[in-house]
This record gives sequence, C-alpha cells and structure tokens, in this order.
Amino acid sequence: MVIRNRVRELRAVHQMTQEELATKVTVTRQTIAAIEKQDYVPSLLLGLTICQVFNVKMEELFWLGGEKDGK
Amino acid sequence: MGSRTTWFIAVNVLSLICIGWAAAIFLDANQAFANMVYRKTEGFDITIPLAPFFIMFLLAAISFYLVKRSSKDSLTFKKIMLPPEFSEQDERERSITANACRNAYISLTYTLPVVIVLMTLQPLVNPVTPYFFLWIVLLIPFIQWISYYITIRKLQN
Repeated sequence: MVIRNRVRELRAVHQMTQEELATKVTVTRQTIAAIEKQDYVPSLLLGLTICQVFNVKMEELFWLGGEKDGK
Repeated sequence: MGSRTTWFIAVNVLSLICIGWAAAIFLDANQAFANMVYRKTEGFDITIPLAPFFIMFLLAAISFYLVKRSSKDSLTFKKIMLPPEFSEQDERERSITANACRNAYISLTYTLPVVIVLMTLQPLVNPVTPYFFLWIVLLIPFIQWISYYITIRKLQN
C-alpha cells in the first residue's frame, strides 16, 4: 500500500516551481521532487504544511493508493 | 547532500589511509625502541615522514572550509565536531541518514566476526606484512563508510 498525492498537479495549477514550493514549506527542492515521484512519503507536519500552501484538505492532496509500481 | 557526501566519504577514506600510514611509522618506531629496551640493542633511530600528517591537515582544512562555506548559521563547536555528512537540511535527508546509519550498524555485525577471524591469521601473515593487523582494524570503519555511502546513493536516486 502506498500514499499517492496530487502535489505536482496542484503545483502546476498554482503556477509554482518546485523550488518555490520547497522554500514555502522549508524543505529542499529534491524533497518536493521525491514527493511528486511518490518516492518519499512526507511526515504529517510536512503534508499538512503543503495542504496549507495549496489551501486544500489533506484528503484532496494525499490518499491511499494501490501497491507500489515496480520502481 | 549527494556530491557533498561523496566528497566527505572520499576524505574519510583518504584520512583512514593516512592514519594507517602514520600508525605504521609509529609502530616501527616503537618496535625499534622495544628492541633497545628488551634486546639491549645500541640506540635506535627513527625517520618520521611528514607526508601523511601534511595530507591529513590539508584534507581537514579543505573540509572545514567547505563546511563553513555551506553553513548558513554560525559554526558552533557541536557542528564542527559532527561528521559533515550528517548535515541534513530537511526531514527526507534526516530519514536517509537514519537508514544509512542503520545499514552501517548492520554492516558492523558482519564485519566484526570476519575481522576477528582475520586477526587470528596474524602469526602467519606477520612475516610477510607486519602491518597486517593495522589494516584489518582499519577495515572496520572502511566497511561502515562504504555501507553508509552506498545506502545514501541508493536512496537519493
């Protein structure tokens, strides 16, 4: 079971670069890239901070997905 | 984190070689001194090459400069004493470090018995390489660093 997210999609909607989002939530750009690629599951604190930046509810941004695809 | 870690691990391995080199020199010096004390040889002379000490000093100076340059805040004593490869910038990097430390710890579990077995070969190997035990002991941190480094590279890609 993995946690899927719409961070890339919402970042595009808000016309934000990975660097800009990273600065807003005080992480590195690489962390945002890893979250978007579903390679890294953010902590609850980081997840909620990203939700705050995009002004969405947690369940709109993160949800439980199926099995991890063969990466 | 990636290229910085590569640099610092390379520095660690180079320093380790220099430490082994310097320890071999002191081992020779102590052997000569022991011969004078116990076998009553007449005096002893030692030659201490400065190269390993100079290389270690150079590596320490370059590392200190790099840490100072990349550090946004002022350098505290704790920051200077902490291995520079631990300078995580966010929660993901902290989790990568935690994983790498775990694997380095596990590698110790396997390295230690091998090292102990190799140490028992000392009487056989000693006539060929008198510094055998030294290199075997230095193998422990070497394996740990390699394990740490491989985990970091794997998790970052």
